[in-house]
Amino acid sequence: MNGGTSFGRIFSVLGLVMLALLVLPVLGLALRAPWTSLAHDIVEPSVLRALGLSLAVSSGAAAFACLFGFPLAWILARGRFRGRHLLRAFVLLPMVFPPVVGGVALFTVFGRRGILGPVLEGLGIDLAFTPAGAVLAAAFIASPFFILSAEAGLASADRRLEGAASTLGASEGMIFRKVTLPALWPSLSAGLALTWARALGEFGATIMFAGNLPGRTQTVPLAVYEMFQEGDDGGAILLSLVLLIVSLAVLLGFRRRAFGR
Amino acid sequence: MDLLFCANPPQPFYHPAGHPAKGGPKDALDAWKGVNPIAPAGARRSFGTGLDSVSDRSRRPRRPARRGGSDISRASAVRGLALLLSGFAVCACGVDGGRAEGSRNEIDLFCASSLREALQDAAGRFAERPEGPSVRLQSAGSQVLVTQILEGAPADLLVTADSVQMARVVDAGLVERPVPIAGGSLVIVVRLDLEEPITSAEDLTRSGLRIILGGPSVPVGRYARESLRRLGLLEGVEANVVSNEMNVHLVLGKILLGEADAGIVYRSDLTAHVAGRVHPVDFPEDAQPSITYWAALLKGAAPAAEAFLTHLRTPEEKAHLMARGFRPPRRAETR
Amino acid sequence: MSLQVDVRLSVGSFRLEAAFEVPAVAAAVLGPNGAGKSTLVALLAGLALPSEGTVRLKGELLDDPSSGLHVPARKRSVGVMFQDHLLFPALSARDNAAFGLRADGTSAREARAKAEELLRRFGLGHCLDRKPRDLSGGESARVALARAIIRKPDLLLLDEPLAALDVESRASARRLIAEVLSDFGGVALLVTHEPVEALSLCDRMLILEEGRVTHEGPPDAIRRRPRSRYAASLAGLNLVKGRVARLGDRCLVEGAWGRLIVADPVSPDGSPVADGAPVLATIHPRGIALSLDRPDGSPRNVLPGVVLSVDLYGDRARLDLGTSPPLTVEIAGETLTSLGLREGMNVWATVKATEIEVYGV
Repeated sequence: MNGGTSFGRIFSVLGLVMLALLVLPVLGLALRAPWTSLAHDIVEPSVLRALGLSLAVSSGAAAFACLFGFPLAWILARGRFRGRHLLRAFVLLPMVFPPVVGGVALFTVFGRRGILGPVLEGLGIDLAFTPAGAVLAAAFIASPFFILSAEAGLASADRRLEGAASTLGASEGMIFRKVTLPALWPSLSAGLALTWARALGEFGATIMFAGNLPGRTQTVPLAVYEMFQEGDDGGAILLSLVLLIVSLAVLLGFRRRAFGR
Repeated sequence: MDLLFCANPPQPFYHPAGHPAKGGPKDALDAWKGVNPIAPAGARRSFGTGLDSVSDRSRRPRRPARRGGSDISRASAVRGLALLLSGFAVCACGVDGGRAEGSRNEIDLFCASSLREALQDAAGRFAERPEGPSVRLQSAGSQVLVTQILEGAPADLLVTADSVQMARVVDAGLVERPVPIAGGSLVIVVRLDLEEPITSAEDLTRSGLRIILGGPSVPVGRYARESLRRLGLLEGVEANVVSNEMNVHLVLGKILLGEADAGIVYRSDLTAHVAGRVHPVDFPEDAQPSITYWAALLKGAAPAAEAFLTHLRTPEEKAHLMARGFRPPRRAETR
Repeated sequence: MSLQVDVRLSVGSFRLEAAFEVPAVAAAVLGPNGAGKSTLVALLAGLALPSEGTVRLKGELLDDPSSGLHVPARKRSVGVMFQDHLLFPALSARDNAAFGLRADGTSAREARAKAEELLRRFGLGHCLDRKPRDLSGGESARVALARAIIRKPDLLLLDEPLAALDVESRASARRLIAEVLSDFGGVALLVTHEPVEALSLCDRMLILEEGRVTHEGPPDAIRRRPRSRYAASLAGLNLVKGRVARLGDRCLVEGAWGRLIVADPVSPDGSPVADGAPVLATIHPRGIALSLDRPDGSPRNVLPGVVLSVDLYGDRARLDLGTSPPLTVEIAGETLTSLGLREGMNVWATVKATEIEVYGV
């Protein structure tokens, strides 16, 4: 290679290695995929159902993370109480859990024999082996991404702007809507995108807690694994690529809207 | 092969790279061995001479160096990427589904989950012999093991829980003639604290029950559905199925956790460890499918593996298997 | 309409004790850094609570910790122009200015129309839709000012409004603020550390030093009779604190720094100031003569010292002398060169008794 400082050279070699690791697997999949049967395979009901279910489950998990995770992030960022660090450690736990173990843990709480089992049964709510269970499993594993991102955004927000808004007569709600939230949007959207993507790929907790039933709880990762086990690796690769493309499209579109660029 | 009671038609010849086999097993075998029909044309040319083609590239006249441009010129970046890609193509072509040469005294055993404990014991007894070959045991659902072997995982001996999975490796020409080593039977397991007890297979169709079965491609799932179909109960039970598990241990595990009401597993899974914690319900005998465990030596396996297989078929070992709830293999045609 | 403040507030090791009253005029709050000016602004805006005391605006009690009363910021009729402007980054200039009206419940259309009118008056018609990050310093200051006054508050607080601007924008911004202040009907407090701003924009001055109000009143009074070193430096005067002493027919002011012969000081009512009474004495920098040798002659104050620094201002020069007390002297540039004065040289400073103004503490 000619030209450039040695720093530049070292960095580009190392960066190229990383890029290769990221790009080559996708390339490998694309090369092995039986593209000729794509049109036929993709309209198969089980494939469409798995796709639809995956998108619904990850969106549900992301929404859950947003609704319940944002207040927690607020508490973490703005609370002034002892044990805040312990609380943050708990938030990190699902990232450390092996997902399958997470699934078993969910059983011990939300299963029929779980801590909340009787309560849920009394309310007529079924979580294990249901799509709602798949959402819960994905939310459990993926929420920390959103919470930590939101917390970072909240912690670095300029509180003086909120003071300025209140001198102008704004209520707490108005301050939150017009001052706090817009400033937070970059970190929130990044966290949301990450959570959604992680939920989309969730396997272990889902297969343990929600089970594997086509049309009800078989998300794309489960379907891909099953296809591969059956020897239909062509179909498995195709489905993986379809999911990849769909999620890329969603993420790109989302970030474009989020940043108005 | 024992095709008499296969619930689904046998899998078509294994499709490497997802392409339908052009003809018979030979084409499939050729495809498997690495003459990959969809490898990029350039890569085939560079097979075995991959590095040469790269150095050819470097002999082409260079573009004149840019004055004061970016630190890393575009030309060098493109060259670096090309280097990596052609290296990758070389590897893609050169893959051989062969195994690493293991030591002579170690056997790699790939074994269906339902036989795991039984074969672990057998391996223990085998290892006490004077030559003391050790057995490395990997277990998973049969369909997973076969897929791994087809992808090139090193194995000396394969034991599957049905003929369908064994057929896949036979068609790929990877094994010697399979032999049956044991038979099995199904049993319904019910969780202990179920209010309304289940006493027969018909009870499984009761509405509101949560049933779990192995998936349709998992041997135990296939067998279970076969039995239910024979009893005319398949549709009724399918309505209650909440999950298709990837292997029989997951089925049993969730029953033990109390999260599912009932499932169908092998009788041999009711070990002493489990026995008191679930309530077993028998299938009628004439509804039992013909469950046969097949064992086959991979081609090129170590001789010790053959010795182990012989050991498994001795009457003493068979007695051990019976004691665990297995049955003698039904007399069947072998391929 | 007036602002009545009598508060004490402790923040960490800093203690603010301010008691003053300002009618409906523009008053400047001057002080060195760390004096507590921003704390005072926060307190008056309702963003900080006093520990003790009261704040009254237009006769209405805003803060009274003893009875637990604290009118929150959003319920006060106060407009603040912050030092860093603090415009809302997600809103356009127009929406920033309209913010206060929208908070009051005005419809979006009406609020934006009023904001637009105000911003046009401020010369910002060309950047109504721009976001704060696309505004220049001067433009952003004007938006901040518009935002602060659009609700016609009773109290206007301007916290170092020109600090973030460069020299050119500062002049035009100052003119705008002067215009706004002259039209403004309520109490306006302009916090600054620039005496020029204070003098050109305000009729009254408050000087805040180390959390206390040391001066309150018209600028001239403060300039003639400063009561603290800071005020004296604002006025450009030398200041000493001491006690009256009479020695024979001479009158002296004595302190730890030495003694000065002064003309007999007289109290406001005409009676002579008593012996030992504490007094302040100021000397104008131009009232000091410099010489290289010790002068002799009629009774005058003769102080030796080293030249600590020399600063040139056009054709005049200011020198800081290490005399006791330390003095700042202003001489003509020619004198500087003719005497050949440089840093480190020893000089003699002479002050006539009549050049020293003495007044009670």
